[in-house]
Amino acid sequence: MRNNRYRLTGTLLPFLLLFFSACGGSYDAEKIFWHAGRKHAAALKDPVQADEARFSEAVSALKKIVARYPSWEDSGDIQFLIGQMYGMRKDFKRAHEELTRVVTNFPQEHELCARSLFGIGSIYENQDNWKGALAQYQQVIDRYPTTMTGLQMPLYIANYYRTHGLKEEAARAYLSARNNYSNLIDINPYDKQVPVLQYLLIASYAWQNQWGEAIAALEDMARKHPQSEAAPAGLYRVAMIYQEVLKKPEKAVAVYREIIENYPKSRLGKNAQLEIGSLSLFQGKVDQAQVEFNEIFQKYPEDASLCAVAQLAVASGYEKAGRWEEALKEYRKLQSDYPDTLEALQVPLLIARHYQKQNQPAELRKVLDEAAAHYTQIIAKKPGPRIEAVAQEYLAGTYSMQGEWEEAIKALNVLRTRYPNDPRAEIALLTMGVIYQEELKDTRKAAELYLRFVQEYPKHSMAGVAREILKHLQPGGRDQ
Amino acid sequence: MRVAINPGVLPAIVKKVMALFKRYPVILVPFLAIAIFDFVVLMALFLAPRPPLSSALAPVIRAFWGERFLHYPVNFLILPQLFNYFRNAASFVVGVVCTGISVALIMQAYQGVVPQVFGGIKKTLKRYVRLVAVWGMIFIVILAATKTLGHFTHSLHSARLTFGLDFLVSITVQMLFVFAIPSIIIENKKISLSVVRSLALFKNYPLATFALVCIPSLLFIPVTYFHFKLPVLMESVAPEIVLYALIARIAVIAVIDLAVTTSATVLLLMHREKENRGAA
Repeated sequence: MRNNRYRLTGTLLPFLLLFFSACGGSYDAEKIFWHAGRKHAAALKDPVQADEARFSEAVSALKKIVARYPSWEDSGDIQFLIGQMYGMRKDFKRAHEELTRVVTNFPQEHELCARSLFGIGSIYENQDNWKGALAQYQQVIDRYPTTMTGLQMPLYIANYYRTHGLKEEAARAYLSARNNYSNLIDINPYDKQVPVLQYLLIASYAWQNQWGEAIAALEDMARKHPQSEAAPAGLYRVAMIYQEVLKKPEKAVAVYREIIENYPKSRLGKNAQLEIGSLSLFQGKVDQAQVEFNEIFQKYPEDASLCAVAQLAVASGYEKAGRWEEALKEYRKLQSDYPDTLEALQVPLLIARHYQKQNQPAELRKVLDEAAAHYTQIIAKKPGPRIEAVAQEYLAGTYSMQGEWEEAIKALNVLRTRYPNDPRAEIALLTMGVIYQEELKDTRKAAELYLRFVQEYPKHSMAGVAREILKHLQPGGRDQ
Repeated sequence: MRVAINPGVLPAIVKKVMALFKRYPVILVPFLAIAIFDFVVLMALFLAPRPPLSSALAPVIRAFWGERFLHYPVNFLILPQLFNYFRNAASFVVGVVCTGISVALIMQAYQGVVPQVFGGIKKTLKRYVRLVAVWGMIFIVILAATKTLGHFTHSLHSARLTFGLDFLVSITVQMLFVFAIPSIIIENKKISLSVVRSLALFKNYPLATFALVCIPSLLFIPVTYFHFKLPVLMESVAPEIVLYALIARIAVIAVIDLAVTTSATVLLLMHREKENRGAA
């Protein structure tokens, strides 16, 4: 009897050890957080309206997670959330305490710490204590200067003065912000944050409507650091200011040409030529655009994806101008010259859409049949997961245009099963739901798919929409 | 030799099976082993997102399904599918061997000999290749039949109707081949002859075969119905409901396997007795 018991214990022990060794860690933290989120959904969604007892329960549940799993990657965010919740209820004392905990307990999370200090500053601001707020904001600048929050802080301070009518302080603060951003760029013009810094620098001029000064600063920067990425990027922004803000396309073109001349092999140099062509198209000068895009084919024949973009622009330019025969020729050229590009993949569907718009059903049918065969052929060739996933999505689109809903669903299912990590697989699930709901009138299946979507991708930007549809989806499908 | 259809054969089988279980509970061991194996596989997949198993299983899940399936509660969405894959693959070893052993044990018990597990293992391993071939053939026939049917049922957009038709196909195929594995173990038949033997027995006992395969398999219907409801139950109850549903499924499958294998084996043995009496 005793032997049997030992044998049983011996058999079960490895499984028990395995089970308990698997307990703990981030998975358990995720689980407890998920259940807390569900249990206290109302209080977490709207802490202001929650009654005291429910709010306390929710906060207490969150605090338990932070205390139990301090090293979990989301614990800092949860601690920050607790502070925010108190802040929303205007319990500034507790909010201050909780946000301070972020800084003291999660010092390695610089961005979160910067946001917490900014949150504490906002509390002071809410209490009309600008001096206290400014001290916190200055701490953000001093302690976390390279975080996104830290970078934005000088501009925030300047904007505060401007919106409160403190002109002199605002001017000083904007100047200080500009100096700050310019210095950071000068220190390391090769840093990956340079584009953000340039954006903030322009913003610091923009708030005062000083576009001329902004252009001068960017041009000066390009002169100072001609070899860095900051130079063409700065000039590109200058051209964009001329094009979008000051509405001076000829000046924009001049700057684009300067970029092309000085940085012909850089990504921005190539894009600048594209911009010139697109500007001509925008102005309705299709033939001029063709000339500009031809420059790309001549200068950068090795860059297939760039040439494909240009070729697509030429074709769509002719189409928009109502010159369909030329457009069709250019579309076909895109397919034949750059067959392995994403732009070329779009062509059959673009042609089909033209015939659909023109209400030419016979042509449309023919083109869609060709498109389906084309995409099937491409997928069979296995050109790589990215192209295959796109072709699969377009194949589903082709079937949808043909009204072949069953085939469209099959194609979307293949997209989901073969390329589960492709972002298109996410939307494919939602699209299937829409097809079942709108076309096949099977609300039960549609609801199943929407539910699957919100369960599988709870943080997707469309998850909220799917949840709303689920709420309103009336029963009455074929399975009902 | 032609054996007459005996309408009273089903009660006789049930009576005999119950008597065998009562006298030799060791017959249950192979089925219990399959259930325990399935349970261990399920627990391993359930624990896959967590260390120490994550080091082996997480890369596979990440590569084929994506990172999100390693996080709570999304991992429960894929658990049934993962379990089916692993179970189907493992059944070619564990399922075949345990079924073979169980047939050998039932045969010994039927003959009044105390069933010897090791004797059953020896006998099964000797015939393993033939057993796997028949097992694979049944698997492929069911798969092909349901896939073919799927082409026609796809447009019905009814998961329940599709399941119903798949269930009927599966029952039909099982009825045709249910005696093949027992005849390999008991009569040491070759692959083709075991299939012929199974078809002949089905022809002789169509109603009894239908009853002994279909009645236990009906247990699968509530399990599947519950399975259809899982996405909604995950929301309204808790994601862990998937795990409990799969545990229940393991138990139900074990009961179905036990009932079908035991009764089919007993029917074959009873038929052999008749044949022997006829020959004498």
